[in-house]
Amino acid sequence: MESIIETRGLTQSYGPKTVLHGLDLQVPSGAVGLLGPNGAGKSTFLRSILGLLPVPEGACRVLGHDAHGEALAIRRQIGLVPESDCLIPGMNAVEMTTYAGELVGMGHADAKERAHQVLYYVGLGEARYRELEGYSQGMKQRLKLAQALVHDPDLLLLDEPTNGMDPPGREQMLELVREVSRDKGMNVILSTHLLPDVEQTCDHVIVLKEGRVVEERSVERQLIDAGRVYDLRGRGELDALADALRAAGHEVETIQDGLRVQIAPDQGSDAIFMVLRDLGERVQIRHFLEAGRTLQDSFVEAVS
Amino acid sequence: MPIYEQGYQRWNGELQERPLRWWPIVRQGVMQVLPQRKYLILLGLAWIQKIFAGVALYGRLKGGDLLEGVFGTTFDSGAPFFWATLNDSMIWVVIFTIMVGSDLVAADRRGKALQLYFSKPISRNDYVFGKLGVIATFLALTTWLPTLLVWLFAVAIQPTSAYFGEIWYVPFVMTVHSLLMISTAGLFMLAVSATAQRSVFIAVTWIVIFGYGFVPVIELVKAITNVEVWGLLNMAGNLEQVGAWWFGAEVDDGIHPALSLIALAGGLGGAYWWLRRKIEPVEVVL
Repeated sequence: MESIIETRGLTQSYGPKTVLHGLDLQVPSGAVGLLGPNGAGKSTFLRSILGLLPVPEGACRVLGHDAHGEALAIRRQIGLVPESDCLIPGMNAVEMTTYAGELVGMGHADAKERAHQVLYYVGLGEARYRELEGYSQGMKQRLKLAQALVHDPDLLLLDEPTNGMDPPGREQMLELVREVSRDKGMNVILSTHLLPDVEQTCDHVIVLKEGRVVEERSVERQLIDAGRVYDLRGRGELDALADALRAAGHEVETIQDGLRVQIAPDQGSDAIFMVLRDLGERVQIRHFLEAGRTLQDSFVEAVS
Repeated sequence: MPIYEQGYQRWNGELQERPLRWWPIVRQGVMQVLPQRKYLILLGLAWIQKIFAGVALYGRLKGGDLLEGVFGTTFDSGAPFFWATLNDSMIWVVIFTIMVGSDLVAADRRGKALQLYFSKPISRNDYVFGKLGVIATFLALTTWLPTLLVWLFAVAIQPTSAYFGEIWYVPFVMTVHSLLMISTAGLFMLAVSATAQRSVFIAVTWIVIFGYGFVPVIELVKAITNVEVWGLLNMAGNLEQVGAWWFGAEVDDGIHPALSLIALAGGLGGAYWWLRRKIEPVEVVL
């Protein structure tokens, strides 16, 4: 899979505090979740991508550009939905979104037409001429998404986009993100500490803890693996058990003191018990546990 | 009213490669202020002042002897007249710098909008030039442009080579001085606006730092120490000194205008340095 971001030994510090510790990452195209607790370095990573922070150590390339020397070229191709509110006082949504487009390099007429389009898309069509000061939190989040989408970026960065939103608003926001990434092919990086947000919208997840990557995996793989891989340990003829399981269509791998079994598609864990029953007393199972680290496991480890 | 599809649509247009990336900031800032009636009235008043200057110049050029006979005095219609006309605009510099400039950066900081700017292909310099451009537009409209029109009027009503020989260089000097005046007033205001958040406090601080608030203190210190160079702390005074020098008008003997120019350059550098320091694309809370 093509990488949109590559970092080698990326280190970032704020004064004496090191926030990113030599990150070596290849972020694939598609929708990627950046998961981690507060202080994990997610926002710093996004700032590094945007070239807002110098790169004192290591290297960072984004969409083929060097994040340090070509920051402005990168920002032309990126749309950012910042974590905190960012409103320009005295404007309405159309003016602010148009202005955002002009700052990126769109002509005024193009930016204005496009502003109406994206404001309708994010559900602010009716409220687009209202003063921003009267917007609810959910409306502000949508507006931030609109200003990020106005120039149709190649990469959309979302920093905690569902912060402060009520459940229906959160669902709608995630639906919008899912649509631009899955249906329209836009690359998305979703930075969040909410696991369900990543599960709902992303294809790939990177878990950060204290500025280090603790897990990188496909979300789809995690969903497939969940409930389908088991570790068996016990006594007796484990080789015979392995053969029997393979014959039944399961994938079997030998591990220390036992077997790791990936159950055949469309079957449940009871399929293993069927094989065990046929083997009778030749095998005595003393350990039967779901194997493999789920996304939940990685996240729990990161936040604990 | 166009009807838009509710789903997301890709945009097929092309982004422009702008050499002046700060232009949208100027445009937006000016268009946000200009339609307001209070600014239009103030602009009108600034121009009325220049119309009076034009009428006075007309009287001087066309009926100089009559004017002297009636009022018992007259004035120099050469370059010093244009300097006086330009310098009279300082009141509008103060008014417009405070009204337009005090919230320019402060409002963005209050609304946390800096991150919005710097997530776009905008550098810190672009941001500063853009905001400065907003102030500069209004100051140019109230100082440089009407004074230039008075000069054109003078040339039109007195098209003699002798008179033109006296004032031919005025537009160049006027432009250079206006640039210096606008940059100094604007950058000092942006520096204060990037530091504080309340408009009233910003306005008062700017008046003090720009020099007007310093004048009594400076005069007192000068009197006590008997050292004239304390006057260099007064940026408005420095501007006046340099302007008078360039236009060939009478200058204050206490401080050489070249020193005032150096003080202005130092002030500009300091304000710019401070401004860049305060306008951070990333606000880090440790």
